[in-house]
Amino acid sequence: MQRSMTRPGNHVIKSYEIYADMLFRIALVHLGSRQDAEEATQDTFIKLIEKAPKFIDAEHQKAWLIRVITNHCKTLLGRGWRKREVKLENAEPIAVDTPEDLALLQLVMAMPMKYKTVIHLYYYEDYPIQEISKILQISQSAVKMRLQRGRQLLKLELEGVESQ
Amino acid sequence: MKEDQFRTLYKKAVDSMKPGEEMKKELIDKLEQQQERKRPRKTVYIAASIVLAAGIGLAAPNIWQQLNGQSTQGQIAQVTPGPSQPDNSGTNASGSIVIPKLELPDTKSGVMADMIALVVYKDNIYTQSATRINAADAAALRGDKLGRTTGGIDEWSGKDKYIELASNIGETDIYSIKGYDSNFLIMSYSEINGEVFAELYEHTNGITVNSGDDLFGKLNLEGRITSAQWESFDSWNNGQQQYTPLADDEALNGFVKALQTAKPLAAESLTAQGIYDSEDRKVLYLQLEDNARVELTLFGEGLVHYGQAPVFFEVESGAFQQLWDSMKP
Repeated sequence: MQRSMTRPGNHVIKSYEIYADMLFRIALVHLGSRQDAEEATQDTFIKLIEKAPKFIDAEHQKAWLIRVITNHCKTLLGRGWRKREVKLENAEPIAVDTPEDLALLQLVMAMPMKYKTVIHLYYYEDYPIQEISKILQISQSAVKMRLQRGRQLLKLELEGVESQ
Repeated sequence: MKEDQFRTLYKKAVDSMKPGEEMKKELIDKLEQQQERKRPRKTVYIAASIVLAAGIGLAAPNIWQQLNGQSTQGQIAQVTPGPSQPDNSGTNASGSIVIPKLELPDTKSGVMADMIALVVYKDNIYTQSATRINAADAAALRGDKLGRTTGGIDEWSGKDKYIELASNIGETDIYSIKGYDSNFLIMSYSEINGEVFAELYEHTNGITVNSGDDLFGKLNLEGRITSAQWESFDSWNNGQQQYTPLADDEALNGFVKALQTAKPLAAESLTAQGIYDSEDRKVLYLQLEDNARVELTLFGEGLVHYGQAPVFFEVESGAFQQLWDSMKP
């Protein structure tokens, strides 16, 4: 198999320009700390170099990066690494524009991981359920259920329909 | 809060979170360190210089073009997908499908459970059901109290957490449900400040499925359907919940009858063949006389899927097609 580059880092830097903000935001929602989110983002790009996967297109690469950083966050939290970060009141302040923004983010951050991953990909990244299923490699019904439960936790009302 | 309002506000809030400029510099440092560990020193200086120059935007345009050209060339083909979902259901000689008992993984193996809402009851794992009820109807369906969950299971739980009434849904009371076998369906129920929270959990693992009756028979569908709706794949996939009433009773009754004798097919091979890649699907919602709502996914190939069970059902083609054709906007 031909490796993707002779100078490690160049296409990673290009990918960084495109995807760093997106990955940082995913990590921050999961880890609750700017420093940890930045490290997780960097680690994800290092994995991109180490694994050197080849992608069919840009969407394929984006999905791979999202899956890697999500699993990385899951692993970090699972190890009990930086337990303190789970407690939002102890985390360093997150720089946002308004107190309302912060309150909303904290609401999502306080959710169990399995729900906030789906909520973020659905409501922020605008991925439909089928795509989230492919990215996270879980069944579509599992995505649907997590979305439904996440909505319940956020007390979201669906427009013009019953909410079960 | 309304869903659209949440989407707008959440996007605005998330957009305001940006990484610091240092993140990029630190990444470049890490890349340099990594290369130093792997490469002879002479090469390191050259490679690191190029990375650094590219990273901080000092590279000449022709170098950028060269680098970009190489990266494009590298972005084709092989992916490294994660491990596929565990799905060990298999077809035995008689054509029945054996769905293995669901267990929490051995944490020593390093495998983490893919979490769905679950409750351990009578040594079996019950997962969140594809049959749902409205909170307002839950009290009327409550049967005997079976116990109270203890919580304690998370993505990293191993077999040691597999104890009676352990769950990942927190502490809540568990009840049997009137009209259903508790070996199949149970209910979590709690009232907080007068508000009812109820969910159904079903046991669809550790069973052998010979026909549709082994699964759908437990839901007692025949003769209990009061109304039906369907939803297009596009609506389902985007969470739009655009339901259309199903008017053709004859088609529905024929389909439900055929469902009982439908042939089971293992999900693993169908999934590998890409059944979920197709969007030729419709979702059918059956409202029962006890106000429970059963959700079935119909695939254009003539197959039906229910909930988390790793099995599809091949319904007699005439009955399936009549219902499918009646599902028109």
